[in-house]
Amino acid sequence: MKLNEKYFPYVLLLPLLLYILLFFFNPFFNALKLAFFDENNKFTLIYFRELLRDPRFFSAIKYTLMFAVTIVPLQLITAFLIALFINRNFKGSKTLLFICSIPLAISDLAAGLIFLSIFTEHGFLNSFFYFLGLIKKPVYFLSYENIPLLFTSILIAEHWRATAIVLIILIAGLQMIEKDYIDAANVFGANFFKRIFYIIIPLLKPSIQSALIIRTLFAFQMFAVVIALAGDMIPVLSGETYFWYYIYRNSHIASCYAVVIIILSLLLTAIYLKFLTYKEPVYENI
Amino acid sequence: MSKKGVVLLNIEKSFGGNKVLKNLSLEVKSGEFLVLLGPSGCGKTTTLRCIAGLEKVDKGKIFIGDRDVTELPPSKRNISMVFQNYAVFPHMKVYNNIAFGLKMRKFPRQEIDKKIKEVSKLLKIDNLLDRFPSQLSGGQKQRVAVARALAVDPDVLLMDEPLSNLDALLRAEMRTELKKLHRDLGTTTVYVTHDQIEALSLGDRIAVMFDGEIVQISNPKEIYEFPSTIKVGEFIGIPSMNFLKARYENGEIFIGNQKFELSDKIRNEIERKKLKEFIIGIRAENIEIYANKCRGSLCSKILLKEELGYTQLLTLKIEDFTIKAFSKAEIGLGIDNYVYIKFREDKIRFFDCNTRKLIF
Amino acid sequence: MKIFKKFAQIITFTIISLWVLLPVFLITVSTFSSKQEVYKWPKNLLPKDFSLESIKFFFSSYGTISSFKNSLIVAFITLILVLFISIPSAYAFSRYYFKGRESLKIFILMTRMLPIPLLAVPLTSFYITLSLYDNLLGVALIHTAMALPFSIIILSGIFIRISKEYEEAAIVFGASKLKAFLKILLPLSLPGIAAMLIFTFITSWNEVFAASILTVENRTLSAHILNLLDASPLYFKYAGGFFLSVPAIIFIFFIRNYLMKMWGGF
Ligand SMILES: Nc1ncnc2c1ncn2[C@@H]1O[C@H](COP(=O)(O)OP(=O)(O)O)[C@@H](O)[C@H]1O
Ligand SMILES: [Mg+2]
Repeated sequence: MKLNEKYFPYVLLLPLLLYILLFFFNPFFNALKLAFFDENNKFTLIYFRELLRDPRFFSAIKYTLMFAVTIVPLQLITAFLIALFINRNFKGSKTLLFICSIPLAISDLAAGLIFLSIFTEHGFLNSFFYFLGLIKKPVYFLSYENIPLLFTSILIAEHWRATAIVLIILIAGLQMIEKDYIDAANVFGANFFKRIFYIIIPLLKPSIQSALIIRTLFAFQMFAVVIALAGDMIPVLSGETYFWYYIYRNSHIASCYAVVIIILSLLLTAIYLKFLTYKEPVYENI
Repeated sequence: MSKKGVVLLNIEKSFGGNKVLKNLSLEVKSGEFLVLLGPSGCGKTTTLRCIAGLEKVDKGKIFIGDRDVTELPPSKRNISMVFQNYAVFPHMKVYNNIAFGLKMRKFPRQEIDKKIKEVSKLLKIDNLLDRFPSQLSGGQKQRVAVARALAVDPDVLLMDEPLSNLDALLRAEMRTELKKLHRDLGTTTVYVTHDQIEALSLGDRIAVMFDGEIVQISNPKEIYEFPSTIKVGEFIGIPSMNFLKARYENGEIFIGNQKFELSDKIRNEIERKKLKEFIIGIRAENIEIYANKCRGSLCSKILLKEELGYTQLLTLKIEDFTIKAFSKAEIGLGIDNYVYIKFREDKIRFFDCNTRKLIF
Repeated sequence: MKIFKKFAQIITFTIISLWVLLPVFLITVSTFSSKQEVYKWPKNLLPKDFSLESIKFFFSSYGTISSFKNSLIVAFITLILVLFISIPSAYAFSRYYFKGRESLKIFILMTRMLPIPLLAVPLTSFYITLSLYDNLLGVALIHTAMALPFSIIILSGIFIRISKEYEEAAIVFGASKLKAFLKILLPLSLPGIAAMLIFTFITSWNEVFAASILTVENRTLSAHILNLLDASPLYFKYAGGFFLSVPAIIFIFFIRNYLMKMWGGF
């Protein structure tokens, strides 16, 4: 009877543990196997050597990192500003929060297609510029001849899509800050910027950190937005994984790419954790 | 109406390494209203949950009636409980809340209906049966919780600080009502509280609990008049019992440098028990205050005067001890003046200096 | 001053809303435009004609309808799997203290951080041996893996917020643990569970990488559209973007009040 009770939670967790085993551990180790072992189960680096010979590999790393280091800070800043605005709790702030969370529902592929209708040469942005009299002929935003413009277009689309999650995390964090602190700061004469830098940001640190880590990790997996807007003109790591498997049917090289993604992810998370000490949220006792 | 007693025998219970109940034994007589009184964190709730079966005891046995229920799940113990936060199910109407226990016991529909009418009348909530808990006030939720607990005709009714979430006025009203309910129904009740007024006014008997142990179990009057330890005397009564250190020298009793005159009867008792140093306990209302020195009085200085309306509460300094006393009549003396006090001899209690237990 | 503040507020509100809503509006306009209108230059800033041409083309292209159906089936299987795995797990996390609870929680969150390519590519060979390759159940299985971490964390949060006292009351009044769960905790957490399921639906509906890699014929809508990106005209893409977004947007409307609660734990 007593024994039963003690093991009961583990029994409840059994399906989950089984699932983790089959769908996380299994593919994880298989990926390592595919990347480092050949058909005869012998350790090999030929796949990685092949990877290194592929010029697109280095571009993919370059662009993936470039996306991560530009999008994430941009998103944090916009989300923080919007969060501050929404947190003023004016009439309509709830509506605005809902509006801002709409992109949360939209997939990266859909976001890519939505922005395709804006950035393509027959798109709305060109027509808009035309009506403003800024251009006579359509600008080619999505062309390999102007990679920076293409990059920026993708940046805008991804920023539009994925800022919502940062916003939600930050607002949830803001709402947990007791108003007393801010009132106290007010009483002691802190102005708006001082309040933000000395009270709000430090107290919001755990939320900022979660948002930062989550967003960075997902930025490394950027894929469908890029393909929808740029095809294969801008290589990114996830996209290359996809191409290597989907077109060349080479699961070894594809796995090498996947392994590179996780190595970069771990590296960056470790850096974040090192520079921003992260406290696990305390779950209420039961 | 079923009536069964409860017996706890040498119960031990730990959470992690923290021993919360230490060899606790307790007998609740059948039909009795027993109050478990103690400061917060002393293990009252844990005791109650052990009786209910919500916690498994590490050691010891629990009997309800003559049934050993130690290993039985709550559902097989035929007990019911009123929770501190009521635990009135928010998604069920009042009717279904009260019916819950009966449904679990598979009562036929008409019988459930009849029973609900009965208890809801008893608790004056028969007009609320169709409401959801969110439409009820705290006091009403409380009544629903009690009705739900009574509807199942439990062998034992357990209540965990049921009045602590009500405001003062409602609390007093509900207290009276609970007392009346128990008088009418006679259900064996274990009632947990940290509020001594509640305990004194409700309990047939009170079990005083400190730190996982029951230190005294007796009727309210006895507990008030004969606290078994200094701690009990301090915990029960407002203000606390006063305690002064005294010594017996050459056939005389001294408090500090003042001689304390007592009758031969008490002196003989002290002599017989060979007491040298001891602690005197006396309650504020058993101290008489005089403006002038008289035979057998002790001199003390007024530190503070509090007007309570019907009486005054004086804080006095006698030798090194601070005591509180009620003064029935206005004594016309202010702070820093000296008054003379006498203790009602039959109300003086003597405690051991070391064990701090009652001697007589 | 006050009026100025109010005015600034309205302006800010408008700019932010426009920034979010305009792209959604524009894809809607594009979807309901005729084929010529899509390629016209310059466009009318406000749509002149209203046409179902693009939509008709989209749905009559080979595979669209069946991929729509497939997406729904995959999402549905995912919901069921998530439900049956996450409820007992969340119950264990929120109602019991056991050795390794906190570490397991963190570990589960970490699993969500594993890149999908890392999971999907090696699963192909695993699936081929189980004949789950190009099989909707196979896609649902990996979508479940992706949805589980968040749904368990979300659900644990929901359960924890419901006082244990209610279930204990039920147990005291004669219910078994299972009955207390079914009669008390489940109905009380139903709105939260619904929100969690909607979130799971959106996750599955939107997922494209694994669905593309693990199927050949039995494509989900996302995979179908991604597969045809190179070969399809603009109006097909627009309609695709529109129909990918609409169900998800409708669903997120229903859980708008829950978004905060779901993410509050982060
Ligand atoms: N589930 C639990 N886990 C760990 N410690 C507990 C638990 N329940 C109670 N305790 C501890 O046991 C002691 C007694 O608690 P309790 O019985 O609730 O006291 P009371 O009801 O008298 O205030 C407290 O120190 C409390 O912290
Ligand atoms: Mg308690």
